[in-house]
Amino acid sequence: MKSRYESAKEVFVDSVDLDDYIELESSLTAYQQLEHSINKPLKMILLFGRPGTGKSILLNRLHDRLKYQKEIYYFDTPAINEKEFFHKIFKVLTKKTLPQNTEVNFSALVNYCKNMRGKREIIIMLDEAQMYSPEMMEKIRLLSDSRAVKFIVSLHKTEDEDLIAKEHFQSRIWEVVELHNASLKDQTTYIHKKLLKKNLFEIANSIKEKNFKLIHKFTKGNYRECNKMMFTIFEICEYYDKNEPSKVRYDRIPKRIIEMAALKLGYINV
Amino acid sequence: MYNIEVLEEEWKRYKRKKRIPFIIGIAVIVLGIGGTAFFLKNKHDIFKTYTASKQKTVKSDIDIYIDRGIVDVAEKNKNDILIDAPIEIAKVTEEEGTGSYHNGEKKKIHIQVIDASKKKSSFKEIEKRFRMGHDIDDSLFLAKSYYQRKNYKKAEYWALQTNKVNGNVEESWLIFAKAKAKQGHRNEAIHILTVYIRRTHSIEAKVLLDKIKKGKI
Repeated sequence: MKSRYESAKEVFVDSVDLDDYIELESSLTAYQQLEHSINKPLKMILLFGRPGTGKSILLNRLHDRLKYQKEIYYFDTPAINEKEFFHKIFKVLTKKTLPQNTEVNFSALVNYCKNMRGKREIIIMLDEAQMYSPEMMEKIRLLSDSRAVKFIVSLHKTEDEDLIAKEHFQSRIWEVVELHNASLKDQTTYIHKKLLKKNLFEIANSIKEKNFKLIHKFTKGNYRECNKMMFTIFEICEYYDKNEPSKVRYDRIPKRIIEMAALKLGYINV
Repeated sequence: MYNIEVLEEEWKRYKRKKRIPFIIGIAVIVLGIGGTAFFLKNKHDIFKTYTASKQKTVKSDIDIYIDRGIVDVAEKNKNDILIDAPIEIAKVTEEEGTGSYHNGEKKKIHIQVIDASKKKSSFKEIEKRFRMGHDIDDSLFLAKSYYQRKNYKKAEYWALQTNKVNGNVEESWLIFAKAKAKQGHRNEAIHILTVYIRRTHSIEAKVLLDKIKKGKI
């Protein structure tokens, strides 16, 4: 028999599936800020935040919402090399695919963009941009200078990446949108909404305020960590439900299980 | 699925570890309270010793009356326990009871101990006090003192007063009977003691009855 916790566990499988998108107060603010920036005559926009703060899903949502109104493209994974990246850019600009053995002439590409100015406005969203080399970033900047192509660059906020942001974007980027970890209130809403979306009312109600506080303490409000934590909690619950039902209560999640999940994920250790 | 048993064990270890600071905290609090209490107690004793050593005395109006018998015993054992302090002139300096702890004052009093059985005016004083407070210690003291001073009529009177306040004080019955006998009312004394013995089976009363019957008193 399928355990009720199995469905709950699956809700928290980490993905950027737009169906799983949860509208929160903080994410709505970031979304509006980003949408507003797109409409400004800016060359580059930096979307900044620690891993797991919802940058990718925000870009996806923006793409999904604007794809019929604007020429907007989302590059989820960085190109392996410069050649592949410019092939992708070429396809976006010209709607034509270059043969594999050819190389894009960068100067010609810049000129092509310059000629497009005032006729077309293309928005390219680059996720995981910390993986692009400085040389490539410099070329991206030159393309953006044509004012026909606008880049939204999503970067992880770590110490090294802070440096990249400083060196390559600080003087050029006109707008910075920063995402933060969720507050307790936001994280509570996030977990609740996720479960309710899948009609898991009883399970949503079994997570009490104290549980949310503890989960927030362990995950520090990070969405990715929260997903991992919830997945592990429900996985442990599922095990007990199937093998030792006396150890799990349907009306509440025992603190012990949350702590066991935290131990498993290394948030705490013995 | 991970090994839940291992995870459970890990969790148990984690809980035990988590409790350590709590246990240490409790121990520190308990030791702190204990230490403070010990310190305060010592401080009190030090203060007590200090004040006692200063000998700043306040003369009190309170007189303590000591039973002749006690004085006799004290005189008999003078060399042992009251070597340099004859009871008649003894000056006792001490803390003013427990009351001083309640109100926090550290007032010292000087108590003049007087052998009341040698002072006529003291008797008046005690008689007055008895009428005010009906304390049988006072009346019994007077009965005994008068009996010792061979004032049997007064001894009989004060024994009776004691008995009126509390009829169960054996000493008052005995002094009453002795005083009666000394005044020549032997039959009356025998009757009183017989009634008392029937009620209480007191050995002392029986001995006294025997003495009176034999004419020793």
